[in-house]
Amino acid sequence: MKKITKQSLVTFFLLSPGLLAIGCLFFYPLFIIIKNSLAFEEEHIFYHYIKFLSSSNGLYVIGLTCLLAFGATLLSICLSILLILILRRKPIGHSFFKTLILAPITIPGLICALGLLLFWDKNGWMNLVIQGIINRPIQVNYTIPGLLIFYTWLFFPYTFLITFSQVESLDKSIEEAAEVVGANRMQVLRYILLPLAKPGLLAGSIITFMLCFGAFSVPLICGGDYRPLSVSIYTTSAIYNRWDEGSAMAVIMALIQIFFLISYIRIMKRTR
Amino acid sequence: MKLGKILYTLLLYIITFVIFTTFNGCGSKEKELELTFIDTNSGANFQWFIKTKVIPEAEKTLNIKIHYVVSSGPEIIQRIKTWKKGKGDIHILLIKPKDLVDMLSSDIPLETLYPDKVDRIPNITKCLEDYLTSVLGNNLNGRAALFWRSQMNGICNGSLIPNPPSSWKELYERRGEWTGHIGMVRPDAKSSGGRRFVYCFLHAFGIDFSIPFEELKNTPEWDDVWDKFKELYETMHKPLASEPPILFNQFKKEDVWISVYATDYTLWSRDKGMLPETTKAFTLNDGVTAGADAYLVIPSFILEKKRQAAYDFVNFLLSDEIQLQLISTMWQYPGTEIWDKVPEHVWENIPRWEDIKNTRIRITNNEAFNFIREHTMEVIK
Repeated sequence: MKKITKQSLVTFFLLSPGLLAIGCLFFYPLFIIIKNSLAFEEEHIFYHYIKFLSSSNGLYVIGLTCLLAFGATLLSICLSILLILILRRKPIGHSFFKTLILAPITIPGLICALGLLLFWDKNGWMNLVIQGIINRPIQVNYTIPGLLIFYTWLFFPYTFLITFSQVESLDKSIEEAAEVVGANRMQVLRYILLPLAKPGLLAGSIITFMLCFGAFSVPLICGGDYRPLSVSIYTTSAIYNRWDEGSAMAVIMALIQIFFLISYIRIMKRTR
Repeated sequence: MKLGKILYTLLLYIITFVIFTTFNGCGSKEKELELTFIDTNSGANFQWFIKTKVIPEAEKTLNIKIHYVVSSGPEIIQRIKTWKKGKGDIHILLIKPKDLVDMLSSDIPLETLYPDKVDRIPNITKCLEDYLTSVLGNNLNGRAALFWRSQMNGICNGSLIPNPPSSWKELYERRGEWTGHIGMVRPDAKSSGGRRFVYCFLHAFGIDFSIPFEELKNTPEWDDVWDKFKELYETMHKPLASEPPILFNQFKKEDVWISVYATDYTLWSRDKGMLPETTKAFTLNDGVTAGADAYLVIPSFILEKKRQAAYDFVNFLLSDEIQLQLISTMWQYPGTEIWDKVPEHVWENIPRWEDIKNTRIRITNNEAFNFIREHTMEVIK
């Protein structure tokens, strides 16, 4: 067994304010949420969990949340690859364009949500343009495709940024070598670029996925009748004042996210 | 630098910060005429009004410093409960009737403003005595002053609906005229506007909310009225607004022409350009719920000098000048009876008080109200 030295005691003492802060600010609220979610008065301690998971609405909400998160993550990956292929050739104004891509990160979610709602409204700018082509407005607001577009716009910069930095650090001579031996553009992309950019794509996309999974402002404002887990938790806790049920839903949400995070780490390990 | 040195420096910073903040708080002695005014009632519109209009004017007129703090009723009640005599640090509260009832039932000592302090607060005599002696059926005995009376009303775009309905029944019967253009906030939203809408509708069609909910929900009338509400819902603009700003936006885009919502917040938002200029309020004579009336209270356990300044501030808030601003710029019905002084243009925007005062509904059946909040979206699907 390792001996406790004076040095390690001093280190522990110096670290103790930080540990205390983490304990108070993170573990204590977490403990409270878990405690609230347990039904000590009911016949089963996991009553709220069972109630939510066995209800058709509960499964629908989880399904909807997963659909939105997976769909938006997939769209983010596609959009990021497309933009990276364009921007890595450094066209005129690429720096400005890169900065523009970061805009959704810097604007508060609520403002983004209201802006998107106005932009995609039947009298909004997008529909004014589209109506010139197809003569009728398209319904984007309050629909699942609309939510997917909004999520993608809001969260794809995370996938883009991490993947882009990964691609930029690649040695250009590898691509050149592939071209010398006769590979065309698509083959370079398929067999060289994408495999090398995969760790960046995975890392970026998991951040996007997590953010999509927990998105609140956008579905609250723009979701209409489509209300994923975060909005359901808010409604149950803050509107219905059923904090116990809301806490159980929050724990379920956290567990699902942890499950996806562990899966991601395993995939990352295999990739390496 | 070694890790140990970095941590040591960090610790020094923390200790310095703690010492500085601790002694900074103790060192600065509060000036004598500084009041803390806690507001647990106002929405965004009135927070803005009080902060930018009322407080600067009061500070100038009364020569006192007022700290305006927005908080929540239950939290403040818990704090006041722990006070000892002379140690209170909240000098005036602006609270909802329900919180006032909670304060009274918690035996929190409050100053008796009426009739004891009429000499210090002469403007309190302009409040109707009924409002000073009882609140939500509980004895108040003059321990609060009425600052404003809040009311929901019908809201419509006057250019699209020149002759709005005069009752819920008429709204229901004429719903076909406005198919797809009747707006409502979701009943499960943070704002209570949507659930109040449903509550009023049920009330107007004969639901007796004095019956206990368990009994009420099994009556045939309950099902019949919900069927009627479903018919009204069919003609509503969908999806329902998730929060009031979305409803206002629907008005702005002329997707929604008519709704029922808080008069003051809607018309204030209209003045800010969030709704069409032609938006106005109208009354529904078979009853619309009262909003949260605002009461002013002074806790007893505060210093004598602060108490005297608090009386002056209450008198200032009940002055004609402030009360007229409430109705003419914020579209809120005043707490005092100053109807003869209200400019005529106000009545072109909101219904006259005498037209609505007898139709105000109080939410008395909380179980039914909770049912509306949690199950309306399921019932109407």
